[in-house]
Amino acid sequence: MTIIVPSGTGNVYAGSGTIQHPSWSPYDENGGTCVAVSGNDYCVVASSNRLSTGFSILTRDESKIIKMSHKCVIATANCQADRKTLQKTLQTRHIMYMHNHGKPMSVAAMAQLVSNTLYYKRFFPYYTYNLVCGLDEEGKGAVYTYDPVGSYERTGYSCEGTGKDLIQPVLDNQLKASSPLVLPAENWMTALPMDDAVDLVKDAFVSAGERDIYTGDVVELLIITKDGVRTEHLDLKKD
Amino acid sequence: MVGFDFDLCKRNAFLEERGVKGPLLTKTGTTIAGVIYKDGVVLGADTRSTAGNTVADKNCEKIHFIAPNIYCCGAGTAADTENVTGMISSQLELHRYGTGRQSRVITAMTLLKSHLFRYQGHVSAALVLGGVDLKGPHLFTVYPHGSTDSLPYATMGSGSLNAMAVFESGYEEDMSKDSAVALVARAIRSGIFNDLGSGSNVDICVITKDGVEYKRNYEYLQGKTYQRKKPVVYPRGTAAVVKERTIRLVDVDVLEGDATEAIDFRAGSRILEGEGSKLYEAMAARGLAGCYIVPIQKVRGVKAAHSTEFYEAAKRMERCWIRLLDSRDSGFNSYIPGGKDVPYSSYLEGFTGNVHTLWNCVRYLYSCRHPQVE
Amino acid sequence: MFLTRSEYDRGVNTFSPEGRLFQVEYAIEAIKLGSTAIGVKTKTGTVLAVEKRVTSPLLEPTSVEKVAEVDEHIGVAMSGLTADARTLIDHARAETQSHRFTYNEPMPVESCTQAVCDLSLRFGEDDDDGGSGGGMSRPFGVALLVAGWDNGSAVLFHTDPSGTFYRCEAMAIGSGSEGAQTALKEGFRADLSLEEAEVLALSTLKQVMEEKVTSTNVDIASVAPSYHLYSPTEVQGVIGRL
Repeated sequence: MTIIVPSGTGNVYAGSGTIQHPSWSPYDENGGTCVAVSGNDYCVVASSNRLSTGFSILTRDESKIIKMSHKCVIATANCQADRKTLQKTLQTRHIMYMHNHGKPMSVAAMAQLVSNTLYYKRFFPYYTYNLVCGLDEEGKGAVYTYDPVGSYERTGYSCEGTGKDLIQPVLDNQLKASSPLVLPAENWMTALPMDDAVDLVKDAFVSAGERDIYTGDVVELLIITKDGVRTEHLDLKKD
Repeated sequence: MVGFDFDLCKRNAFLEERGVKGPLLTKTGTTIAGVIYKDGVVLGADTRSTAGNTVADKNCEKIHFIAPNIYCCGAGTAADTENVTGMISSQLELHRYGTGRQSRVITAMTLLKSHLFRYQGHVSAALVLGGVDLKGPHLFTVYPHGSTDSLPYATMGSGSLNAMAVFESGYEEDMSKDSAVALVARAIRSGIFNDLGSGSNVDICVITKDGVEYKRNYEYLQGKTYQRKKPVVYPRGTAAVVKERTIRLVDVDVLEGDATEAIDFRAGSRILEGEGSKLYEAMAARGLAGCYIVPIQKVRGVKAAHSTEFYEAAKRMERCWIRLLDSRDSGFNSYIPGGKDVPYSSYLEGFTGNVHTLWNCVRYLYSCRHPQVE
Repeated sequence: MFLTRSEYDRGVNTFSPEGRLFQVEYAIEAIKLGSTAIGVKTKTGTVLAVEKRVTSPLLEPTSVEKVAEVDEHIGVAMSGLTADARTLIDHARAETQSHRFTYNEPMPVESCTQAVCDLSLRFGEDDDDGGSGGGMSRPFGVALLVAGWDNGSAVLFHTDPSGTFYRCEAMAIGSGSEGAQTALKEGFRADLSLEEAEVLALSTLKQVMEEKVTSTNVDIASVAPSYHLYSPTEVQGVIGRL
């Protein structure tokens, strides 16, 4: 299976003698990292609030998570323009859904809607990396992860954005069973107690902030439980 | 100076045409800056180096030594800034040996610009060069293509605009040392916090006619903001056991005499060590299977290797050989089962390394399946 | 009510001075000519029972379709102009499938009923006002009983040509509806089992039908929680329990 990623601006490589032609791109890479970790009765969603382009910081306080309902949030990294449009579209769809059906969308329904909305732009994609997170119909934590054109999958935890290469392996290590070779197969995800998951996510962001230049300033954490959504903020390095 | 080796340029261009991507270079995204003040020059730099979007080094040094009275801040490709400053530094040192005079900043600047110009910008070093010589304090910027400026205050690198904004608002002529250092530090901080290519700490270097104050990590700006409360401790058995194999440790018999070793070729373990002749005798007495390499540089009783008992024992061994390094006839001999001698001198002639190096040589020949080894 | 009939009873867009839309009222009258259909809701599911008027022995009884599946969790019984019902059911099927495609979940039954009623109301639209089906010449002459399963509980709705819908515990439509509803009021209890509901629905139907109830002249379907159309043997089983 191939996950499709729109090509961004090219890098200059060692020994390349080719001339870089200036070109206009409809996409801007605004960076940012989103992480979600779910457990038996909670879901922790976090995103860095730095918005950047190239080597510049556009703002240090841009929330990338939209709260759709008490049980569902969407975290979106990368192209800010696309993120805003996508989240606005989804917000509108969700309000319409509530009017039409008299209830908020379930996470599973939102997950499918996000997939459709992304695939609808298959040949001019929203250059966004999304996580749909919340509590499912049984009250269990749910994380859905996407590629920019709508391929999606439910997972126990995920990471998207510029810090993905740094954080995802750590989550795999901390949350997956000891080895995929163990027989009989063990549960593919360890459900941590909520405080430990929050601790892990914070540590992951602080560490990613050390090495990823697009992750920094502040990390916003949304902790979703049956009692609702609680927000926390943690300062990251500002350099 | 020996020039660059361009052998692989065509190959790389060919590969690139076919979509093979080259490695990412380490850049020093960088904010570097310098000012001339009343008594000399202050240079400053951040300490972040990047490879693409990731921070490659959180505390690198960007203020390079050129001469005892000259330092140079470098931005661009890390390898280029380090090597260019290093080369010019050594040229100046030779020049000082030749002339017996202090190096002049303008000499360093001229050497740098002519080198950079020669390579038409491909050596990507953007420099802020500062120093004090017989003509007083000097500050230059040197661009990757070889152009230069002489300035009272200068900035370079991806954070140059941030730093220059600070200079433009805060620079004054004939500043005191303290205010010059404070201004440069502020300029670097501006780059660190507002330019993503720059980060971590502030390095400062103050050069006066009386000497240099190199203030490494003059400002340490920010540490980690969160310490994990529950670091994961892996219990025993976290890593799954896929397959088990028990390896019996071979006893090493230490015999009296000079240190030398016998190694089981197939298991790769040392089984005997001790003085040569006793070693051979012990080996022969045990009729050990396997292969042995014995450097005899330090062994006096070489004859022992040719002793009848040993030779007979060697003959009895299946699939083995014995190689001897004899310091006196400086060659190798190989004994193949059946007593056939194969000279190895053409491959390992003049070998004087230790047993491990020899071991590696033999292993290499073995892995090549050289006919003589087989 | 027919005493006030006047030129106001022709246009579907025109109220009479008394504030009535005659064409809609006539459409509701049309249903009273239709065969009887009954729906009974229980905690575990909803039963739909319909009378099939097999007017001639030459008619193949299975071709008279008065109950239809809309989605896995929704079934519909109809009375009135059953041809009109096809349009509504096709619409409901498209809506429920679209909902599954968009949200990966079954459509709420009320939303489906609302969608059907939205279509029923389109009789007032012009040809070119952007409506997907174009203008309609008259209201639909059919009433529906929409039985469904919503998030762990059974639901039953009744729709009529005016585009109005009601949630019901038990309901009857068609020619025998008045008598049937009286019977239902007497026989309905909130704690009916599905089997008891089958009996209640069919016995009520039996009371209002002119013919004798057989396995060929009635259809029974249930949504409990999935739609199921009873086979003649199953119908015979229910008849046996009357």
